[in-house]
Amino acid sequence: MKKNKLDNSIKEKFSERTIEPSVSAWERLSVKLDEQPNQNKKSWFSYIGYAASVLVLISVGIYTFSEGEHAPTKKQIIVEENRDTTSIQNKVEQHFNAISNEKAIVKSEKGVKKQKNKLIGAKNIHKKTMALKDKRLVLARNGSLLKENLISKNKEKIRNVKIKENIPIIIPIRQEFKNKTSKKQHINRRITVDADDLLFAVTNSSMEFEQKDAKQIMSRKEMLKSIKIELKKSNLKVNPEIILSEVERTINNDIFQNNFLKSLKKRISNITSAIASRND
Amino acid sequence: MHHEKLLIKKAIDNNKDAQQQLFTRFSPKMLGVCRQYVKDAHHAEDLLLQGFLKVFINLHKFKYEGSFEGWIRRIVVNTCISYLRKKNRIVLSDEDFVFNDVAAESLENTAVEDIQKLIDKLPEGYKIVFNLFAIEGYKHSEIAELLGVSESTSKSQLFKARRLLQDNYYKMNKTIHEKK
Repeated sequence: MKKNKLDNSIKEKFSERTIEPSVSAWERLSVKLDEQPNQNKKSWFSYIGYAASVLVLISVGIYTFSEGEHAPTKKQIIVEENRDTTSIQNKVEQHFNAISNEKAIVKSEKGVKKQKNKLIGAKNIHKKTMALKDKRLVLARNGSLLKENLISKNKEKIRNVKIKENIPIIIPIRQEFKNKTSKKQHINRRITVDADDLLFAVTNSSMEFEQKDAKQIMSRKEMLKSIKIELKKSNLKVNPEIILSEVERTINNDIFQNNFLKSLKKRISNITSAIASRND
Repeated sequence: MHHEKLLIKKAIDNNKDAQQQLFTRFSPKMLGVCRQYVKDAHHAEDLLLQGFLKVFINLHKFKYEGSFEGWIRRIVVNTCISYLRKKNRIVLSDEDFVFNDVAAESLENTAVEDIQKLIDKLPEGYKIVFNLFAIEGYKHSEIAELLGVSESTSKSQLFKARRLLQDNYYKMNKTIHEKK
């Protein structure tokens, strides 16, 4: 499209045209120009602010996410700890149960083994001794010398049988008593001696506990021996196992255990006096 | 020329005197340009100030390759067009018109302000295209790009502006003769 004459003439006229702006034009423009750098500064500061806020948000996000990652592990740890405590409790309970079972097993094993091995061979002899015991008791009640002589004769017979059969005669009887007394002891221990036994069981291994139990059994044998000796001295025909079991009932403290022999002697003397008074 | 360059450099460094000198030198011509596009003088002055604000903000971008006046003029024209585009949607029709040579010859003897009055009577779209093409020397491709229209639309707008301007010129001459 070519420019025609009209366009050219108009262009020439407008190219030279000037219109003077108002007096306040420059002042208005200068005000706008003064505002402009401030706006730039503001924008610069605002950009810095935006950048800082973004950095803060990112850092907070990273911190929280990192915490969030750790939190579940902590929870897991807590759960694991709970599991540990329960397992410890279970272990403790098992240990306690195991101790009682061990006791029972030890005693029962001992009892059963001894009963199996020794009772079978000595059944007949045991019957004889039981009959003699009954006879002894009857004679003791009547208090006749003749019967005492008979008892002494029977005693001699028993002694002869003992000599012949050696240990199997005595052991079955003791074993029976042991079984009975062990049950009683077991019950008593549950009530009285549990604290010490449990403490010992917890603090020491099962083997050590068994050894301790064995020592106690051994000490009990010694006690029976000493009771027998005392009974022989006093010429009384009373079962030493019964006396021992009665004494054991009364002994709950270590103080009594220390003065065991004294209390045993007292008990025997009481029994003798009671029997004597009964005869009178 | 050297003085103008020095002033520009000082204006870039926010020298108020230099900025004022540049404004006082180029603002009358630029206000005339604004007046071509906007009928109201106050409105035109507002556009002038907006244009000069852009000039001083982007002064460091000037590469001294063309004339400084042309660079300022271009900024001012763009400011006016962007304002008009925001204010009124420029309606451009596809009508065609060929300017009468007789009318052109008679228009040469007419005063600038009378021609301005004729241009003011043109619709917005016609006026912009006519100003850009006839007075500012823009090509149709440039006008099309500037206004966001096709090149053919710019051409048709120019023809339509010319026809209306000629009609208005005849009407104006008639009234003058009738008064005489």
